[in-house]
Amino acid sequence: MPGRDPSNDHEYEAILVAAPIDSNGNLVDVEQDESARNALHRRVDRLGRGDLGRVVKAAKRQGLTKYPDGAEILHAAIDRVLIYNRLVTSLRLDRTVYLATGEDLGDRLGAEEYGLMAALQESGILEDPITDADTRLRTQLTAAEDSRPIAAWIAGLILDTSSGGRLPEAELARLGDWCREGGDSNEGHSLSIPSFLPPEGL
Amino acid sequence: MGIDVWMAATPAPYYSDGTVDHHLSEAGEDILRQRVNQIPAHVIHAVGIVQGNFDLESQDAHAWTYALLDNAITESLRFGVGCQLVLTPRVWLVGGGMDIGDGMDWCERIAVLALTGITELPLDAGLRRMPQSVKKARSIARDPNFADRTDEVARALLRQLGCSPQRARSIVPAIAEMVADRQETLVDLLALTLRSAWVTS
Repeated sequence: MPGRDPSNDHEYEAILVAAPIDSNGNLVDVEQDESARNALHRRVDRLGRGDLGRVVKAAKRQGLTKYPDGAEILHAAIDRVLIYNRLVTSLRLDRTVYLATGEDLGDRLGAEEYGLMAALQESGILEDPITDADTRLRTQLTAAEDSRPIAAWIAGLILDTSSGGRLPEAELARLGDWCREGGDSNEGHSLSIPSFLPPEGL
Repeated sequence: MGIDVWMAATPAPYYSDGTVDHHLSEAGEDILRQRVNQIPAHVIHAVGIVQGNFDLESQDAHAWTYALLDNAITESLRFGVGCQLVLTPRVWLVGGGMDIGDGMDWCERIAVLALTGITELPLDAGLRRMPQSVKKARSIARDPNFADRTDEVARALLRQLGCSPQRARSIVPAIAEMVADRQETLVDLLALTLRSAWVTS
């Protein structure tokens, strides 16, 4: 993989850095996907001392000396380089997407960006796809933002308060079935209820 | 046999100052079991609702939820069966699937851990520390506008049962009063709903 050769700026000024990809090989938009960005930061936090030492050396080779700490370099690289998708163009090599930047692509990067990108490349944090498991918990819950538990509870309260004849027997029975069945939509007992969780802000 | 591991992430137990090792210690297991004992019955019932466990009036339904919790603690967390790696302080990756043959079990165990929230606080959290889901639920329940939500659900249920608007108008205030009298139950159910939304969002 070519690195930046300061003596050859005019002929070829591109540096390739592995980019964050998802499990389908698609480039992850780190700017838009905060959870992906956080996943990368977490990967940095899990790097060992040896990895971080190599990161510092890689950055120094590109002329970046202002950060003494490898983790600090990588956190900066995620927030200052990967986040700006306009700086990168993706090329796909095998399972890894590489980002090309540089004068030949119309982007002139400063020495700091080269150093940050070299650090990312050296760290290996972009080698593995950012999977769903990295960014969110995956479970087989079918009830995200589900109102059923609360609605079934309220239905029980309606039953309690309506037993004095305020609801016809058949309707009470239907509501009772719905409560017993956990508010599930069995045939004949389907009730649609509004979302219980309030919108953002509450 | 080929590897066909179905990966899922489970909320992992952790300590305030770091992760729990791959296998939960016996002491950690005891802490989680104590938390299981403190789960209110209506939350166990609601977990059954979320997991589509039918026949909720049967004692077996609740026993099934407790059994899932027990398996989640013993097999998933204590013995680490199927755990592939510790990913972050609060998440363990768990593999199930064809090579293990119990992928669905894993998902149910993971779901029950997430929904009950027994791993939401660090193992060394003090008894008075409140989980984030409960804090959020309390703030929602305290919001003056939130009462409208319970009224809305009650009205929707009554409407679909064929209840006339006049009758609904007489019932809904009584429901609102009962909900107001049972704020702790409402908070518990809201917290569960929030945890459900968090783990799947």
